[in-house]
Amino acid sequence: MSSDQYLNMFIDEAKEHLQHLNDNVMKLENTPGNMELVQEIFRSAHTLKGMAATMGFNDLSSLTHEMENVLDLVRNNQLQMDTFIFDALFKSLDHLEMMLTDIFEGGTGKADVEDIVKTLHNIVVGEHVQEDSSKQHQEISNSAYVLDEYQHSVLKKSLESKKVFFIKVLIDEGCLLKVARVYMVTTTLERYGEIVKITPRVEDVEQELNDNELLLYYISDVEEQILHNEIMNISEIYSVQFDRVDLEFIDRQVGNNIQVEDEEFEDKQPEIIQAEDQQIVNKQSEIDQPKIKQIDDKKLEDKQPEDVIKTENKQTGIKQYSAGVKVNTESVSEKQSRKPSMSRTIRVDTDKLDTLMNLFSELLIDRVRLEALSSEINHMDLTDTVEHMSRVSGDIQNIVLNLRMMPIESVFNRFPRMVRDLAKSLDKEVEFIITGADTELDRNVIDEIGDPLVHLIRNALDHGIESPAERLQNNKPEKGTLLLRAYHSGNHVFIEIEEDGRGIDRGKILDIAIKKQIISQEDAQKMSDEQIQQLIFASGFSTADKVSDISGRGVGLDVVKTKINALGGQIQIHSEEGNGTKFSIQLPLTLSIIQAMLVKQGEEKYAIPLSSIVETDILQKKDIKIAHNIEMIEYRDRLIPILFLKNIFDIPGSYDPIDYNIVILQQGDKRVAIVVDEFIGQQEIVLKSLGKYLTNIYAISGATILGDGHVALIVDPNALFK
Amino acid sequence: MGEDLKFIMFSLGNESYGVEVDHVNTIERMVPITRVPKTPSFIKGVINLRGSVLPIIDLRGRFGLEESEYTEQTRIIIVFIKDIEVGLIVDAANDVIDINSGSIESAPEVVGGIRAKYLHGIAKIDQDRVLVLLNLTEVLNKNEIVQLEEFEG
Repeated sequence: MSSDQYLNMFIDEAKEHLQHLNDNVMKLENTPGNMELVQEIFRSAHTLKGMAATMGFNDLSSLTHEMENVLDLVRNNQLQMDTFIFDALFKSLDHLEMMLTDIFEGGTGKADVEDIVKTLHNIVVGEHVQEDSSKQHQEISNSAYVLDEYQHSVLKKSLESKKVFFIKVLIDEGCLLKVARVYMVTTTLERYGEIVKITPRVEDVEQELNDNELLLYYISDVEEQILHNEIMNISEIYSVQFDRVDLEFIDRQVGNNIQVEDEEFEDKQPEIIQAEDQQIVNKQSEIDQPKIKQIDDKKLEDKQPEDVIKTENKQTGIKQYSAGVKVNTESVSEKQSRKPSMSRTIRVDTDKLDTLMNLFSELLIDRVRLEALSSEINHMDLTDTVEHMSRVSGDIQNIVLNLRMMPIESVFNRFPRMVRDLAKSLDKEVEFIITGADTELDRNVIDEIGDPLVHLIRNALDHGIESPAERLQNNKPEKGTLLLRAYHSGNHVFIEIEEDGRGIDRGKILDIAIKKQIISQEDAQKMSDEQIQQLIFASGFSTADKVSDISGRGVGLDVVKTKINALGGQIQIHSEEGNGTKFSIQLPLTLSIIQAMLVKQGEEKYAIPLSSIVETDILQKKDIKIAHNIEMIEYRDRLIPILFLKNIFDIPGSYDPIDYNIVILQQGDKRVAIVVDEFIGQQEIVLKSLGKYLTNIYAISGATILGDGHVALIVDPNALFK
Repeated sequence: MGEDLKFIMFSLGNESYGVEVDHVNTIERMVPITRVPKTPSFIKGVINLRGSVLPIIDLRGRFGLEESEYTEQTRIIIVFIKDIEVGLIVDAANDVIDINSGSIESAPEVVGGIRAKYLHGIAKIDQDRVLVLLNLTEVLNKNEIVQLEEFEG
């Protein structure tokens, strides 16, 4: 099949639609009366179905078809949304996602959708037997003859001078791209005259062209035979039938639908703006050919309050989701504001970006080298040129790094749905609030951060937030709050997960830690609250009384911590018993180029990431004190351990000065001082890995190439705090 | 008769060794090496090879032979197996040589102090010279490094 080349496009677009569906169904769950949302969901499902059908993924299209049937009833107010329907819709979305994943992995997208299709079908027929799909189809072909007042007047006028036809075009059964054929038919016809009405509408072709039948009202002064030949010249057209239409015929077709239509026109405007996923052709035909249907008063009433809420949300820019109670969540404004920039983006293979990054980092090494050379040679013109080049390459660096930045939204997107499902299965009531979804992070970090976040959110719901009954007992609102927050600060991005649940039970943690032999009884006595809270990151630790399939397999938080450390980040926990827990993750903006302090020890040079350095200082030998058999110094009224770089890395050399150069490193609240021979200076360095052969080297996170071409190792400060 | 295979011929002490050309990227002269702490002693460190950082192994040390001073003849052969790329320090790299796969015999227990598991086999070049063919997969086996470290520690 020649459709292979469209597959990637299909997958990308289908994914977007699916995300769209997920978001909107969720919003709808909170505002069930919102017809605009139903419309939007319907449209997404519809487009998805059309795409799937074109690509020959029949299971996908049959499932979306049933979803559409259900939604159609809803938007025509013939069916009231309820929990059962929502669950069925979500389940269908899950199935769709599975099929898409399968297609993405090279599968056929086949799946057993019979059950869910049946469920959906039962929703349609069970309560509304008269609304089955055959009737729907009937309506469509009937409506093909119906004319509105405008069309009627156009045709009437044309009858005075020209011929008016009612044309029936049959397209070949096996035609793959029916839309294309329909397009060709219409352009051909438009060359010789004017199409007044076309059924089905162009964007509905894939779905509603059940009998491969296209019906048109057409005005022309060309002979029937010529038109007939022209259309039959288009390939994959089965037959064409022309009927001359007279005044009596069109008079009969003007129905009682005229009054509704004006509303439709007004209604369409905002929707067209939103319909970013649909093709321009579709939009045009939508304007030309508003679908005629009944709108009852209720819908118009509903609109009012929502508009108010929309503006409110516009201002706060906060997305709010809720599982359990109705919360208004319209964010049309958001989409509109984003739209102009979206149309100017292109998709770029991430491999290309990686290559660009690598090439640029080589350039950066040469830049440092050039800078060193030019200061050695000290030639005016050379220095100027090199300085200019440095500035330009600095700008390029910003752009290259920015190219790799993505809003964290792509990770956050899936959480509302996850929280909803989890809350439901745990019988908990949760309000889920996301802020700062537009915070940008390096793509590499984005790829990796998803799993740890999933874990933390699951934990928050499972262990943190209490059941509604328990909350009421403790004088808390029945509904728990879960906050997911992202923001920039300096060279870091912070992600926080905060809930107002039961907090961490100090005693319980200690009991478990002792029982699992993570700490000893004596240790337990001495530990501060903060140290105890850190214990939950120890491996093999789980406080859940019973193991659930949501969290609590005891492989959780230590893995989260390892992962975040591997990304060059840190995780902190802050908990108050009875008042909730907050996890705070600090991540570097980028993983490729960092600021570092170069130091020298003996003959060796090392780079220490600036992000871990609090300050540098000079210290006298006599300031070192011994406490608990550890060498310590006093720093800002606290005793902190002091380490010698030469001991950490077994660096040869006997030079022992009177004054020590020290670097103070910080991780969380912990500090440590490192003694080095010499500070070389601050520098931007490009991170390079040591390759697959050298892995897990103690206290070394990678290497960088210095201006002189030599390799310097990068110290991993995290290892020094253990 | 089997197929002809191309080997890079290099020497350690008095013996001649070979690695398959298919696994060799380039051959480099000695460059400054940055020591990587807390690694086995045969891992000499890392070098900058045209912008990428590459680990360097002293092949003598790897086989437990006595290490020697580096000379003008000393070369680094950059080899790769799957996604592992390393440089091997050898006394000298001499030639590229064709060897018929049919003429490769399995190696005896120990050749020139190197155990048979690191060897792919031996092949006669002429009357009095044999080429000892390396089994790179074993030479670059990381599991063994871990064991070695444990043993030393």
